[in-house]
Amino acid sequence: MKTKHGIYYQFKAPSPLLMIWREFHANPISVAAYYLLAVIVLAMLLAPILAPYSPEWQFTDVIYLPPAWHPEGEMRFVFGTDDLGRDILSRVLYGAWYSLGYPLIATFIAAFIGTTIGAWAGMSRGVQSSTLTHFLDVVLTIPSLLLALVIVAIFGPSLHTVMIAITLVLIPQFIHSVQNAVYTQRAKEYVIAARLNGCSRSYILRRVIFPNITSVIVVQLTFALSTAILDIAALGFLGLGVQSPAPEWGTMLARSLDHMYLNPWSMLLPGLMLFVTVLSINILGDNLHRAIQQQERLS
Amino acid sequence: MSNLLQIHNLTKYYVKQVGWLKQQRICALDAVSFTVRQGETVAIIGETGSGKSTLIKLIAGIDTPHAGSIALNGTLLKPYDYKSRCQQIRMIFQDGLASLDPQRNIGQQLLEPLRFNTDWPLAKQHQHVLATLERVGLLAEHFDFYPHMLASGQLARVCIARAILLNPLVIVADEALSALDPSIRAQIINLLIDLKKEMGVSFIFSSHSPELVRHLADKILVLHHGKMLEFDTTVTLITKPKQPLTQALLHMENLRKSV
Repeated sequence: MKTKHGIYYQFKAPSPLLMIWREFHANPISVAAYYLLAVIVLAMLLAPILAPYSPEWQFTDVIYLPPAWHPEGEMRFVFGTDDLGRDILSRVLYGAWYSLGYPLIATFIAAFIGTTIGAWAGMSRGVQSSTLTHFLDVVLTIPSLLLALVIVAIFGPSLHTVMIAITLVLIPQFIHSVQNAVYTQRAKEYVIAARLNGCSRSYILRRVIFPNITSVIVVQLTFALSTAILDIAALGFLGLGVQSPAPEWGTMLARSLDHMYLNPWSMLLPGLMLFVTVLSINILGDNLHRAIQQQERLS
Repeated sequence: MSNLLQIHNLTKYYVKQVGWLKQQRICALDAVSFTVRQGETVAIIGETGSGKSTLIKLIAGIDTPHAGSIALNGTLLKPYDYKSRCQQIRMIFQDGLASLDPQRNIGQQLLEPLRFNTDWPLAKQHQHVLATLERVGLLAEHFDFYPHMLASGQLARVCIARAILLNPLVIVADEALSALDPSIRAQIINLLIDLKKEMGVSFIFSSHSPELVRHLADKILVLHHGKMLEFDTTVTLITKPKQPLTQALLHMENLRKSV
């Protein structure tokens, strides 16, 4: 839509999304978390190019090698090698696929399914809605890791089982928050106005309610992502998740725990990566939430 | 002039939960019936909680009545049938900011009723929205604005634009003007009077302000605890009110002066 701009208004109306972005960008901590996460994701995507070696290749001559800055370290292996002579840097880079990539996929699948069911539940009323709510309340009382453990215990430890378990565990949280958000939105005057405009129910859901609950979904997404990362790592650490040759961060941590006194370095990198990733995601979520609230207060 | 809107025995309860299993019915509207002619302005007055908002909501179609019927031009309006209702009865909301979606600009929201109720091509819809914006005293560039960028008077104009977009027969307003500053309120009242003359639309509004009611209304409906006390022309009610409540409501400024 092109309109002739008059003399009074010389600025272009910023859209609400752009305003949230500006608000978010004004905070240095959130920007740092954002770029840190971007670098980690980029490193994950470029792992085949960045990693110097294959994650499973064993250099039998250099077992328990400390990092390069250590007097006994070698420049070939920047972060040293583990008990089987595998390059830790390569393992951590490839491990990002298991520890960040798969949680991302699980989170998005859970978000899609949870948002769909939540929107349906929020738009329905009466017995249908309350049955679902009470069922979900029961599911939500069980901690997510415990629920995932139960599912893995039933189907046996493997990557597929862990993925299915994590996805199933995350869905109720999405349903719950989306349903509540849709329910509050339905009572808003602009939704009533849209209803009086003769809009169809699906149009109201997609074009009126959904843009207004994006903030809820985004915040839930970041919390779910950090939960998923921690759960997958915890399952790997317990030996119930991704199995050993695969360079998953939690599995690597569990393995290096056995040789902690011989080679403490091999714990450092996977643990640090896990910590930094989850921390940056949490900071990102918190500040995104704050920026969205700020924007809502202004408008 | 014929009867345009016939409202017959309209009744609405609100159900309140008292204790575990006991429900208490609160009667918001009790068998209200009246008719509105074409081009007529009807003011609904009454104390707070007398059912003014409920009556407006029922006519606009936001709520459904428990009993009674609303007929437009002799055809009964079905509850929840927004498609056919919204082309003939439109509502002006009280709070302009709350009734406009903060995530979409004014233009998109004004295109919405046209998109769902006309089969015009998109270019014609745009043109009609721009023409309507100018008709209510806004500029074409307000099309791109978001609701939070407009002042309260402009928001009220947008709400009026949304109401007149489909050339309705009846416009209802629930205290549409009470939130505005006096000067802006005067402008909006004049705009409404102009539009009413141009379009010949019936206007039903509720208000707490006796001055506004006497200035704008042809007929006045007095509600008290959900019951209709009086329904007559403004002149009759001002000069010869049958009920003391009518007298009190319409001559409130005398009371105010004496205090």
